[in-house]
Amino acid sequence: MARQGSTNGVELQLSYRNIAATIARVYSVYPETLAGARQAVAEAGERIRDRTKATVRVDTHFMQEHVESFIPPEGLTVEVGWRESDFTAADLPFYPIFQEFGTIYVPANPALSNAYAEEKPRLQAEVSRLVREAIERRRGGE
Amino acid sequence: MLTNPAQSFAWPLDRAVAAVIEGDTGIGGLLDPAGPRLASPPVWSNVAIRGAPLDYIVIGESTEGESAATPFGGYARDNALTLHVWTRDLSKRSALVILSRLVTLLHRRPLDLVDDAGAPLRTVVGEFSIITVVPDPSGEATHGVGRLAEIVIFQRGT
Repeated sequence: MARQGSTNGVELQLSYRNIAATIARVYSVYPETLAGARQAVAEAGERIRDRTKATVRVDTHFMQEHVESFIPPEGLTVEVGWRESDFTAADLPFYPIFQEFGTIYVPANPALSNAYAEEKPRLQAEVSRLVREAIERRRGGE
Repeated sequence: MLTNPAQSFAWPLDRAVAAVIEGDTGIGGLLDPAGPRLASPPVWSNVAIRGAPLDYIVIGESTEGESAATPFGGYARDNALTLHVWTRDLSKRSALVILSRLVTLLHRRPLDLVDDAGAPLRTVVGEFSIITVVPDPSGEATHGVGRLAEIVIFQRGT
């Protein structure tokens, strides 16, 4: 889900919620499933961050250098994007949102959204694999 | 056997979505009354010409990739499409109302698509994954964004 903090753009980030977190909680009785979900989410975040860096439009390199991924303590969510505070500190407007969504005269040049779209099926497949393995273990009487 | 695997479905999707929007009389009543009086809403591809009168809709960036789905043994691609709504209303209201209408028209709705040869394509309906509104930096417009994703378009196997 893309999230915009305010109309001034506090942050622009994509976060994986729901799928990995929900499934992992359901199967949290299996520590290895939970650990696998955390690892899958973390790796997905790294790939989204790296893909965004590789494809973002480059002029001053500021956006490229400031795309970040952040994993909250529970480890089942990853947030990737830009922080407005980095732009404010550099006396810059928070312009990533205009790169991602475009302006009235300039078409969008989405890097983060596309990276997320590319990664989403991979994470879904990995979570499906973890769930399948947990079900098989349960059937096996573990 | 695949009928025509070497084909992108992105442009047929653009055309189908534009046809749905242009064929809807409901959106016309949502557009800025000070704008052009048109039977159907102005729909632009990629970006509107400079100075085009507001309000209008832009069919924007699209992505397409291989699909893991192989319905009916055919050939499928996963597509996503971003729709942009530009309004003169500097509040969020008009953009959100028009986006809501687009959701009504397109969310989980089948689309009539044909491939480059005019053969019908089938769709597994898409869902809106992003809805947001941001002010345009020009200060003269409000920008609504809706991303229609997870549209699986496929040809039946022969």
